[in-house]
Order: sequence, then structure tokens, then C-alpha cells
Amino acid sequence: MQGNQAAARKAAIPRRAGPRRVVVHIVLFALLGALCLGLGILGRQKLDGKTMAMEHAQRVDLFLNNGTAAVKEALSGQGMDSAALRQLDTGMSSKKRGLKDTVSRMVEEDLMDGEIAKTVIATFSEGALNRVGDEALRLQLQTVLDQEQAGLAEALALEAEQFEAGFTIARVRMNLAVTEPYYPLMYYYMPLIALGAFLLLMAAVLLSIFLRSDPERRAQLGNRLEPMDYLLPFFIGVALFTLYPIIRVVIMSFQERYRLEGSFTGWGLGNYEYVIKGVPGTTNYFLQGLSNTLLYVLFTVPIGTVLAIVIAYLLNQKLRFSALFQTTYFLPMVTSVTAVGLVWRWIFNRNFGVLNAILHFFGMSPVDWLHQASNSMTVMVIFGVWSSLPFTIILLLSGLQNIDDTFYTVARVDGARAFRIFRRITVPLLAPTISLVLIINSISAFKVFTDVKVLFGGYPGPVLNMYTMVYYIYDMMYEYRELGRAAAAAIILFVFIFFFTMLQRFIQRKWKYD
Amino acid sequence: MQVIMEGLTKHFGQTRAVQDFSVTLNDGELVCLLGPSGCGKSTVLNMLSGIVPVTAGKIFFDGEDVTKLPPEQRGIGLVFQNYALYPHMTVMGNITFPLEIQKVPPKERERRAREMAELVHMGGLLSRKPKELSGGQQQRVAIARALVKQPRLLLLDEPLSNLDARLRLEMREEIRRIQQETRVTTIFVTHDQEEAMSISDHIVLMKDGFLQQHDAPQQLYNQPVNQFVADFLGNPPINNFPGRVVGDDFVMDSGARVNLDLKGKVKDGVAVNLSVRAESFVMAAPEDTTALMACTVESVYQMGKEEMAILSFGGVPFRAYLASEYGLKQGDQVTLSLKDRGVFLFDLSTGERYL
Repeated sequence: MQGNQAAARKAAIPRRAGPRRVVVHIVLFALLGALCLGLGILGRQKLDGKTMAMEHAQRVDLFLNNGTAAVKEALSGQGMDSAALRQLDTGMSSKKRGLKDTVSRMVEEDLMDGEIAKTVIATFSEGALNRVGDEALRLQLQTVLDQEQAGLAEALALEAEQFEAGFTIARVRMNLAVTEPYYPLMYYYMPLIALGAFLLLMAAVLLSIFLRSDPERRAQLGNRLEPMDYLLPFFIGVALFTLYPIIRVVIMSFQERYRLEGSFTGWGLGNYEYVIKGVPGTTNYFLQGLSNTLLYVLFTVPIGTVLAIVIAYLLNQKLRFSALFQTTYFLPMVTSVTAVGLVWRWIFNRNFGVLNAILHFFGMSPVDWLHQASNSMTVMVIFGVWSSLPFTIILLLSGLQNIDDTFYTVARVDGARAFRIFRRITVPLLAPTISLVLIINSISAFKVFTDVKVLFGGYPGPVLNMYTMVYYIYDMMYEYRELGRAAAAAIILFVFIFFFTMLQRFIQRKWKYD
Repeated sequence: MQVIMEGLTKHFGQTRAVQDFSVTLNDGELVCLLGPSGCGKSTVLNMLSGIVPVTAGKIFFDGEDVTKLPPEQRGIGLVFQNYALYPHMTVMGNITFPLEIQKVPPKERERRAREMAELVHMGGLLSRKPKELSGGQQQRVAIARALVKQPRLLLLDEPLSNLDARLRLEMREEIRRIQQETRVTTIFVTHDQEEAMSISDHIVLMKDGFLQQHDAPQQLYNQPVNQFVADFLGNPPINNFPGRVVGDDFVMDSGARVNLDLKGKVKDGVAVNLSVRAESFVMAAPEDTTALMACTVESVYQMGKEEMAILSFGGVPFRAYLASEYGLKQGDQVTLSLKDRGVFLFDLSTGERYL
């Protein structure tokens, strides 16, 4: 009865939205596809044009430069003094401008190399002799040139031909400046064409399905497309701002000497090689950063986690003033690392610092925390543990509050004392949270950077001894503008974090009960 | 172990959870603490285990005053509604944990744990983790863990509430069996009267923090001390007819009258409830002269050899079990008479029992 009613109600509403949606998709896909394809092809054409123009320009330069050199070379054996040589040069360069236009035109018209070479040599020969003041010398040179002109031209033509071989569109694209008009189209012509082709293909597939199916199936198809439409904005956002940058960094790490303006010298492992090997005979700051980072992780994470467990356990007891304690422990979380870092600089200060005052109170001699290289890691670890505590404590507290009170009651009635309950019940039941905390803390410890920057007054340690992996990336990026090397270092950091996390998950795979 | 509670009282701030609660439980008994939610039965249990300190009163275990003793020194086994099995330990680990605390040598621990596991029929699943067990199995493990340290007193706090109906029946028989085998004095908290009736040697019925009646289950059912006890026990619930005592008779406001042959046992004119169990009605025989009720049949349900009929008397509907041979139909006018058992008169305002 009810089913019939529902069916009747369903039938009463015309289901036009489905088929219409499919049509809209076909049209949009086709239009967008055509647009992308068109832009891609336009980019490719511009790139071709640019390649051609560059090739021409280079050929012109080659003709002119090599022509000058050839003529000069031919005449060099004739015992000229420096004044005469100068006259020769000025004579030739006076012809250069006019010749450049002529050669450009000839290259453009795609004339034979031999012909162009002849013109070039002839013009330069003429120019060279023009300015020679000494009549006898000029005649002497004239005869030499007359003899050699044909040979010179042939040699020049051969050089031009050989030059042609090594010039490709990829090379031009590589050296493209960001400021170039149509840069995005030229640089991304391949993805654009691929995207356009994909969209057109989609349109074609949809169209063929649409044409071959009855209205009911068209409506179904439309309904199936609907959720994807809603996902699209999100997907575009993720693709553009998350996926693309990641992929770009991976690509960049293989682009050697990648510059901000977008040029690079070639593909390869050069960036990785540089990062790992460094410059021979100098400190390899990447390796220094790597070992510093690993040490930092190995100290900060266990110390921070154990401390946090103890504090969270105490905060979880029904203590008086527990709100006050909680506020105190969560304070680092609501303060800026930069601001608090300055406070810690003061705490660590050799002459006026609180820490040294405390040491002094216990009769110890003051320590130069910030300016003595051997103390740098200690300073970092203290600051790192302190700033990682609050978030860790919050996570652990919520984990503790999830443990049912009856576990404690049963254990207490069975006669277990606080420490045994903590060791045998609280910690194992907290293990999933501890595992989460370990992973989060080690990932953030791997990425340590701000701490260094702030604690050591904007330098990686007092004697450049406190590079971390991210500090190295930062340095490469902003100090040396070596984006490819920065990217390579970032990829290595990613690999480290990835394997470290996997290792932790493997070790802690038994820490889950539910 | 004999347990004596003397004037036990517990106040949580303004809330009076338990008031002047005095009960003596005999050695080896299974006693149910029964009552509606919030009546203080769990608080009594927590005071016995020592988790909650008493406000006033004393607790004696075998004559020894344990009122001030910490939980671990009282020799108590606890089983919770949610089992509270340690999820990171195996069944074996769970059962041996109390022994580990008592520093029993590992070999001995294991032997006793196996013994207990056999007792609760869990011997084959010692290496399982709690999450791999069914609710009933978890409950068995929880009981084994509570019993393994040989407690003087086993406390079960609504142990069957998390189980489905079928398992609940099975487990309650199991608990009875285990208790009979070990003879450990056991207190079983529940709000389910049927559970309490079927399992226990004695029932302690509570309401609003006060003890109502402490008796054998059948006694509670047959001889309730007050209206609350009569109302709380029995399924279907007892039928109540409000009215007054006039001479030998019970008279309702509507004028309906039942000759109870009171012979002055109850004062004339007292407002009372006539409370009758559903099984205490019979079809009146021609020779019957007292306790006759002229009723109208409203509906009839077949229940095997008997019929459950809903009738009305003096405008008050009630349930009655009647033999199906009468072939009652809706709208029939019948005269019922009352049996001797399961018929009570309670004071309408105080609930005090007159008959």
C-alpha cells in the first residue's frame, strides 16, 4: 500500500533533471575541452615561433661572430701591428649592423648556408680592408683574402650546418622566462593539450552513451553525475593547492639549477647529488642538518612524550587548583613561538638569564647556553620539549578520560597500588593515544625550523652548527635561491618522515585493542 | 561468610542514597539486592566493597568490623555490568591479574586461573582477547577473575543487564550454578524482579534508600509487607482496586462491593487498595457466598492452557488468568471469586498491609 503510494508520487514528478544534466555536461566538457586544446595548441605554436626566432637569432649571431673570427684568423699571419689590428676590428664592426639585418633576412628566407656564408665573408672582408690605412698592407691583405674567401665561406657554412642539430623545443621551454608573454600557455602546452583531449574524450563518451540510451537511462546517468558535480569544487581546490604543489616540488627536485623565473639547465639527479655530497672541501650543511634533526627527534620525542604522560596523568587526578595547572601547562600552546622564543633567549642568557641564576644558586658555574656550540642541542631540546608539551598533554588527557573508571575500581579492589595500575592498566590502555602522540610529535620534530631561527637570533646556531633539514631547505630557497636543491632536500626530508612513521606504525601495530 | 550491615547510611551532599539500612546475610547465600533504578542498591554494594565510604553505620564480615577497612583488605570479588575486562590482556592475563597483585608465584597463578576457567566453562579460550569473546563469555571471564583470589564475598553489579534476553537466562543459571559449586556468599544487584526471584536464596528489596523487605523470594511474593513490595513483584503486575472498608465488605467509589468476610479485622471506613494477583481469580461456584465480584469481560488472550482476560470491576480494568474451558468472549458478564492466596488489603496512603 505504502509502496504503491511512493511509486505513484515518484512517477508524478517528471524526471527531466537527469537527462538535462547530461546534456549540460556534454556541452561544458566539449567547450572547455576545445578551449584547453586551443590554448595548448596556441602555446605550442608560440613556443615553436619562439624556438624559431631564437634559432634564427643564434644562427645570425653564429654567422656574424664566426665570420669575424674567420676573417681575422685568415689575416692574422700577415705581420700586422696592433694599430692595424684595431683598424681591422673597427672596419669589421662597422659592417656588423648592416650585415645583421641582411643575414637575418636571408635566414628568414631560408637561403642555403653556403650562400649566407659567402655574403658574410665577403662583407667582412670588405669591411676589414676599408679601414686599413697602409696601402701596401691593404693590397697584401686583399690578395690573401681573395685567395681564401671561398674556403672561409665553406668552413663557415659547415659550422652553421652543424649548429642546427642541437636545438630543440624542450630547450627553449626550459629557458623560458616567467615574464615572457604567454608564458603559462607555452610552458604548460602539453598538460593543456592533454586536459583538452581528455575533456573532449569525456564529452564524446557521454554523447555516445546519451545517444544510445533511452530516457530512463539518461536520467540515471544524470543522477550519477550529480554527486561528482558537488565534489568538483573541492577536488579542484585540492588538485590546485595541495596536489599540484606536491607534484611540482617533486618535479622541481629533478630540474637542475631551477631559478625563480622558471629557467633551469637540465633534468637529472644533480640537485640530490649536490645536497648529499655538498661542495667538496667545505662543510656539508645538509648532512649536518640531517644529523642535527635526527638527534633532535631522538631526544625531544621520547623526553617530551614521557613528561607529557606523567603530567597528563597528574592533571587527570582530581586535584585542587587543577584548572590553574591546566592553564599553566597549556600556556605554550596559545603563545607565539617567536615571542616565547625571545623570552627563552633571555632565560638562556649567559649573564642575566634565569637558568644560570638557578645554576648559580646551586653553586654551579654559569653556562654560555646560546653562544657555545656544544650547548646548542641542549638548548634546542629544552625549548622543543617545552613547546611540544601542551598539545601532547591535551591528546593524552582525552585518551586518559576515555579509560573507563571501572578498570581502576576493579584493580583497586583486587589490591593493586597506584604504580601497578599506572604501569599495567593506564599505560597499555593509553597506548593508542601514545602511538598517535609519538607520530605527531616526531613529524613536527622532523620539521623543526622556527625554534632555531628564533633561539639563535636568526642564524643556524652560534657557529652555523645548528642547521636542521628544514633550515637547510629555507637557506637554499631564500638565501641561495636554489629552488631545485631546496626541493631535493624537501623530498629527502619527506622520505625520512615517511619511513620513520611507517617504522613506528610497524612497531606499534600491537597497540590497538578495539 | 556472614555479612551484617547495621544502620548503614550514605549521603551524597543533599542526596540521601541509603538510609538506616540493616540486614544480615548468611554464609553461602546468594542474595539479590532488588529495587528500581536509584533506590540505593548499588551504593550499598559499593559500601560493602569499600569503594564508597559510609556516612554512618557499620559493616561486619563474620563479626569483624570492616567499616573502615580499605577495599583490598576486605577480600571481595567484584563483577561489573560492563565486565571491565582489561582489553589488552588475554583471558588468562585477566584471570591471573588479581593473583599477580597478590604476588602468587606464576605456576600457582596459572593453575588457579585454569581451575577457575574450567569452573566458568572458559577453559578452551584462555589465549583469547576480550574483544574476541561474546558478551556472555566476557561475563564468565569477569566472574572467574573475581573468584580466582577466593574472595569471602562476591559482589555482582547488574551483571546481566548488557546481555540479550536468551543469554541472560543462560547466564543467570550459570551464576546460580557457579555460586552453588563455590558456596561463596554472593550479593547480586538487579532491578529485574524476575531475575531476582529465579536466582536468589533471599531478596533484599529497597526503595528510595530504605529497606522494604528481606525475605525468601516466594515469601516476598506471597506475603508482601506493603503496597510497594506487592506492586514491584509479579508479572503481570498485581491488580489494585481503590476503595474503602465498610463492615465486612470492600466498597469502591462506584458502589461495586466485595464481601471479604473481614470480621472487623480492618477498621471500618479506612481507605484501602484491594490488591489481587492475576492468578488469584477463579470462576465463582454456585455455592460461593463470599468474595464474589461481578465483572465484565473486555478482551481475552489465549495463553496455552489458560486464558489471560482483561475484565473490569466497578469501572477498574484488571488482568486475570482463567481456565480456557469457560470460553469467555468480549462483553460476557461473569462472576469471579477470590482465592485465599494473593489477595491483600493495603492502606491507600501509607501502603501498610492490613490483610
